[in-house]
Amino acid sequence: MVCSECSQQVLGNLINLKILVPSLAVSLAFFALSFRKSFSFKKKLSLLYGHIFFLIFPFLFGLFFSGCQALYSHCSLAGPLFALFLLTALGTATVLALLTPMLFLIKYRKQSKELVGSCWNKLARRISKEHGMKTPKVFHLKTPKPVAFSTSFFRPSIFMSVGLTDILGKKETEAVLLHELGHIRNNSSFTKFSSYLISAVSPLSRLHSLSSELNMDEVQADKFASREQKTCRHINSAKRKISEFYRQ
Amino acid sequence: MKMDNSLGKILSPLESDVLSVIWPSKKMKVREVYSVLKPKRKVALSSVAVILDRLYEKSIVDREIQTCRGGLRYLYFPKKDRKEFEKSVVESTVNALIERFGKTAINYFNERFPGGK
Repeated sequence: MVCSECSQQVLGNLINLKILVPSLAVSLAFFALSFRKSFSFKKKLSLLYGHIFFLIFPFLFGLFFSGCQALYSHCSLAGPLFALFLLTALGTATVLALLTPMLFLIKYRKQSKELVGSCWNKLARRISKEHGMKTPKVFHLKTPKPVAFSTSFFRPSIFMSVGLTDILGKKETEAVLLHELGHIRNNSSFTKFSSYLISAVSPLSRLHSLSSELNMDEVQADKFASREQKTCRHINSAKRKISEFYRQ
Repeated sequence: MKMDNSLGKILSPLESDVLSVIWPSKKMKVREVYSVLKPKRKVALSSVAVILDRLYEKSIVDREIQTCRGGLRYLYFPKKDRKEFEKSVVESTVNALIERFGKTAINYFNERFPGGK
């Protein structure tokens, strides 16, 4: 699509105030609304995503149409161009949002091994069936550091490091696995991914108490593990041993 | 078993204790090293894991992954036997002295060991 009215222009205003001011105002309004206590966490996250979108929109817009100064005044292609831009921006954002966790999964799957017949796989299958969840795959991450995490993108997966099973007893490892199953049940990976994304993009994110929501997720996952094992002894001692490792 | 402290000046006390445990044996799990050390000194299992990882990073021990019923586990084993390790420590120390002080260090060694004795 060639716009004859401005094809001769070279690098016009990168940022147009007519776009920047209302867009930032909407972004701030979304951010302010996300503080409302009556809103659920999912609603707050949606508002924060809106905040990010309107925060970066004027800069992307300016970059996309740099050199096209006529656009804002008398360009006949303004409408279709704007629609095309919006579609491109949304498409790119969706692809990136899907690609990031996928790359993350590929990276960690390369460093790990799935043991189909292991006792941890059997336990994960049994518990997920009992709670009507999708059965997660259990991977053993080849690192001596005691780490465990889960993702519920595409197919739920749980990663437990070799270092973790080296320093924890059977019941403690079971507690960690149940904790991760609790995260999958609460769809915590989406919450975590969103909070990282928001804090990486928005300079205002420091004002938001997203960390308290993440802590709540941890507490919920701990409760799930304690409920399944009928004691909080194992999850507590596992946490103590892991923090002991990192303190040294 | 008496703990060997002759490496105490090169390594930390716990590092040298862990090394003295794994030197005579071939391959050991973290838990096995811990169970040998535990009656002799106050130590946590996580500390043994940290020390073994540190020794691996210093290229003093090596490790391999073994598949077991509970998934995977690391087996640690020394890269060099005790004599080879001591020799490499002396070699690197002397080289560092010569590199740092040049002729002064060489003259000292000549005075200290006249006739190469």
